[in-house]
Amino acid sequence: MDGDNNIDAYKRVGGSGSSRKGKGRGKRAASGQRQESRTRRKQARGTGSDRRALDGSSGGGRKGGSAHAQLFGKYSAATLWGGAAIGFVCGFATLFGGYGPFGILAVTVALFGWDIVYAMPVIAGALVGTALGAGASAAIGLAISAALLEVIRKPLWPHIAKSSDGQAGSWATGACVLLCTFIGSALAHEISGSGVHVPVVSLVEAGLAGASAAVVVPTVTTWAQSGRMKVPGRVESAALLVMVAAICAGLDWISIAGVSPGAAVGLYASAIAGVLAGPGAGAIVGAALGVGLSIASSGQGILIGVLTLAGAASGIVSKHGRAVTAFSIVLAATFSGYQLRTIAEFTARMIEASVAAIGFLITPEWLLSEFSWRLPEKIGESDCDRTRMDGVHHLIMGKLSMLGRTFGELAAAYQGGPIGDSKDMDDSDGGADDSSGGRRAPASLEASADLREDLLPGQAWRSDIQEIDDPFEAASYDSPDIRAARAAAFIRSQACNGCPRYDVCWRDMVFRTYRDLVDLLAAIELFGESGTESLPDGFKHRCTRTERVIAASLTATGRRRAGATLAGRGRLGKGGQQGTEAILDKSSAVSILALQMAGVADAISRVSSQAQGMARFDEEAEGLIRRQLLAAGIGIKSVRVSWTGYGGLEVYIVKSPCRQDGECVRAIAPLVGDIIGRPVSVWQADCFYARPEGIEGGELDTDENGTHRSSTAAEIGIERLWKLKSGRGRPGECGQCSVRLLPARKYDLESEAVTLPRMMGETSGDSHAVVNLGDGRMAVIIADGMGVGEPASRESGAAVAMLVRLLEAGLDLDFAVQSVNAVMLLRSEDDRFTTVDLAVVDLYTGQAEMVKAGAPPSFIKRGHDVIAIGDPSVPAGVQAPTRVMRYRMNLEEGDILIMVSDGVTEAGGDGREFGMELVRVMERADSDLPRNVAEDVVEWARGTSPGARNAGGGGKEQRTQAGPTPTRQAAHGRGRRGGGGRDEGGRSIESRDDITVLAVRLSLADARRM
Amino acid sequence: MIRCTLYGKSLVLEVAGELDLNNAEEFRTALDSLIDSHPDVRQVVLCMDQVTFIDSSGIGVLFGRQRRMASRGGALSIASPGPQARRALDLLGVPSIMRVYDSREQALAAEAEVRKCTRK
Repeated sequence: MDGDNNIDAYKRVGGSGSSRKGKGRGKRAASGQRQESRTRRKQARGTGSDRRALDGSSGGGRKGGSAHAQLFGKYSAATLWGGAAIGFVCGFATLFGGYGPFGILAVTVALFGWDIVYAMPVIAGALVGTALGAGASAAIGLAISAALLEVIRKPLWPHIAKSSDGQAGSWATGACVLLCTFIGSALAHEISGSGVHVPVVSLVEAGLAGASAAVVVPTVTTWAQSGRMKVPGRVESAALLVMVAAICAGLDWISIAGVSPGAAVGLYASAIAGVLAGPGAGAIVGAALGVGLSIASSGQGILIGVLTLAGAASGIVSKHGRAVTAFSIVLAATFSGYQLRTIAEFTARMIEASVAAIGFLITPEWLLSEFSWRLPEKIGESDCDRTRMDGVHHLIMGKLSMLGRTFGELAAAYQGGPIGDSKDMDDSDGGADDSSGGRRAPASLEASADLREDLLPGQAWRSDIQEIDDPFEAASYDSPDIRAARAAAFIRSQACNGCPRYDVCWRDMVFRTYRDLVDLLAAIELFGESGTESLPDGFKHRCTRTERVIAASLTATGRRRAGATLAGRGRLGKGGQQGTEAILDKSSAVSILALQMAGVADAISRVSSQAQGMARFDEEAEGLIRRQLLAAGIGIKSVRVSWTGYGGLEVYIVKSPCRQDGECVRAIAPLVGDIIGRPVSVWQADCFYARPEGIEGGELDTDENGTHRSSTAAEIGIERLWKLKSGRGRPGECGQCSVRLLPARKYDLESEAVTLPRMMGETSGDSHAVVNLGDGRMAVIIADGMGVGEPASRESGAAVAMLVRLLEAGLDLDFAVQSVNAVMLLRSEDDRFTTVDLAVVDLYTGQAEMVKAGAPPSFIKRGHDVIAIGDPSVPAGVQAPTRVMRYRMNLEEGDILIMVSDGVTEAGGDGREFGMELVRVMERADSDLPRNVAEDVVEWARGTSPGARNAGGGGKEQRTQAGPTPTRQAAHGRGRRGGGGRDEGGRSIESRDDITVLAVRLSLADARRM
Repeated sequence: MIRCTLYGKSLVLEVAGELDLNNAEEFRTALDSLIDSHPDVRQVVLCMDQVTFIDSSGIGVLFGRQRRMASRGGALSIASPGPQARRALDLLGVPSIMRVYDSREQALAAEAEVRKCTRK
């Protein structure tokens, strides 16, 4: 639409102009060469009138200025003048003394890259330049060619535009230019009567123009359409080179006292290329421009060497500052002295070099930064590319690192080590045997010590062995020797303890007995033999408890199979019934292994997809943000927009230091939000001048509001990257600010947890947590260890801690719950199980996902309506895989999610239908405060329990409250850790089970963060 | 009180009273003792029509015995649970772990041989 409007405007305005030009062309065609100068003056006047007409604000055209301003208000006079100058220079440039392909190139670029209004001054300038440089016939040819191009542009443009990204667009443009140039040149030469060689000359000129256009026009068109320069590839670099060469060639014809502006521009461009892209690129650019200049000036081959040397030298010394670089330009020019014939030529060359050096010195830093951001550097990457690659690299590194830790802990948990975060286990050391000695190695040591005690009874033996190197420690936990020794020890403890012949077998003939037992185990394992006939003969005569030995051997063999499959439970060999049976059948073991493999695959896929998303940057959005912020007076060094990450968008801006503390940061978020079209908030803002302290310690800064800090390893990695970059950074980058913007979350979560132990003073077996997962999601968890007291608390606390760790690593909810289930199955004692009630709320969308493993229903209270969500499911630790129920629903502002432990649902356990009554309690509660709802439910459960009805009293209620997110860990407790316990009566209520109610309310996010 | 009846390789246990945290340990010990004393038994049927209340602790005992029976190639099943027990069993997904029958006869339909013993 814009293009059409502009063309119409051109038609409306261009009438008078074209008539004037028409007159001029007619006169030039009629009067021939002698009228050239007069024609030029007329043309110049015409151009001037055009300029006044276009520039409605300038003096002469003030009366009609309003009309023109309406039509051309968006075109600046400087741009129009610049276009005319470029057209002039390009038209003025000739190659081999006669060919002028650059004039039509400039016209083509103007016509195809910009609209017709911008093209007018370029065409005019090119006509004038061509007339002055190559003569009237060339100008006539250019005019004809331009007219033909404009005629075919409209029907051709849609096809070129569609294919402008590919080769077809390039070649179509080049072919059009070639054709038009050939026709125009041939006609012009025919009109001027230049002779029979005209077609050849025209064809060569057209070929040069077509080839140049094929390279330049698509590139410039793309730049003009996107409003920004892409990171240059080969074609773009060649286009830039051709354009600069055209300008140099055009300027080379303007000689002032032997000094060529073209050579000065060539030196300047070579130096810039050397500084920005390295000595190699500088040399290439210098050589290319030198060739162009030499062709244009017919024989100054020395320019090739000078420009090449200047480009390379600039690149080499660029690290030492601008002054040295500028001096290298002059120094390079001096080396041409011995090839120059006169001192005047040398002086001229030195003047050209000095002009280039001065130009380089006064080039603004932002301009260099603008180029350096995009142009290829020495190592083949732009700043932009490197930043992006760094971001991707650290994202992957951070994610993989966290996943590695998580799976490592999971593996340790499978072997009986402590699970979850150690900080969450700090108060579980009372009865947690598993957490007493660390993870894998201590478990092995403990088992080995038990084994020694079983095999080699007696304090002296034991103490001796403890003082020397433990032979079992170095052995594989699953090695056949260890398994055989463990089985023999088990048989001894089960069958031989108390036997009157104990000393005979286990002291006098210990090695013989051990060998016989190993033979027996082998016979059972290999042949399934389980009768006394399978006992070795000597052993049969020696042993008086053969049946017990057989039974113990069968049991030990079964346990060994389970241990071999799953690397043991870490607490083997205690000697009791516990742990002596196969704890898993084969299908369960396979399912656990399959679950883990699927989890690893899923985790890798997630990292991969996130990295891919990170690599997909929105260059258009980056350009928009960059321009808008620059227009707002905010000095931007780099902008990175990736449609990935939390909330689907991440904007990372590196900018100049703020003029006032935080001023720019506060200004950036609204601007970027307007550009992106969705509210964003500042999640991170770092402004510093040197390497900040505390990086090694992993401390995270607070953001501008002092309330949020990124939490995941990937974020930390990115933050550290930026800090390190700037800390190490180049001198020019010190003092910059980096701002990280993420979509503003729509919601916050307020939570209130009320826990009531079964009896006052007793530890609640329930654990709960409200945790910010760091990716815009909040996890709300209740785990209920079966039973009460410390053991139940330990189980449920471990489940919660492990869930939190897995979810924070970004793993799927199902996988997290199934992993907890598998670990519980392997490590839990006998009939200790844990229910898991997990809800993850997305604070961007309000969507809640719930997973229940043996947990009672959850409730959602919306206004005065309450719905229950839940179906029967199996607790964690019963079977693998376990049957969990998963739900998803969209919460709205004000919705309260109420999760309860089974102490609530069992409160009315005398057979009454409690469900509707509980729902009514929730419906009656104050709908705005989760605390009220939670307290009402607890009060109801306490009053409903048989013990309470009998005693009529209260218990010790513990509450944990969390404010609005985004605190990283809003609440995490196991009942007894609840903050601010409140004694409401202090009497024992004898409820059937611990009671925990966790209510979370979805509220709109704080407006400050929007 | 647990009343035990042996039907071939099936052991029928009739349980009465409340199975909650207060007596879960006692219940577990009794069940283990009965199971251990019948190593050839492959099926244990727990008749719960006299159970007036069962909570998660009691159900945890059932899960543990089911696991033990599974390890010896057998199974634990539930017969004739009362309303509260049925609701509690359903809530914790017991039917997906072990079979729950409406009557003892239904649970023992496949068994033919009958032998009785009593244990208090």
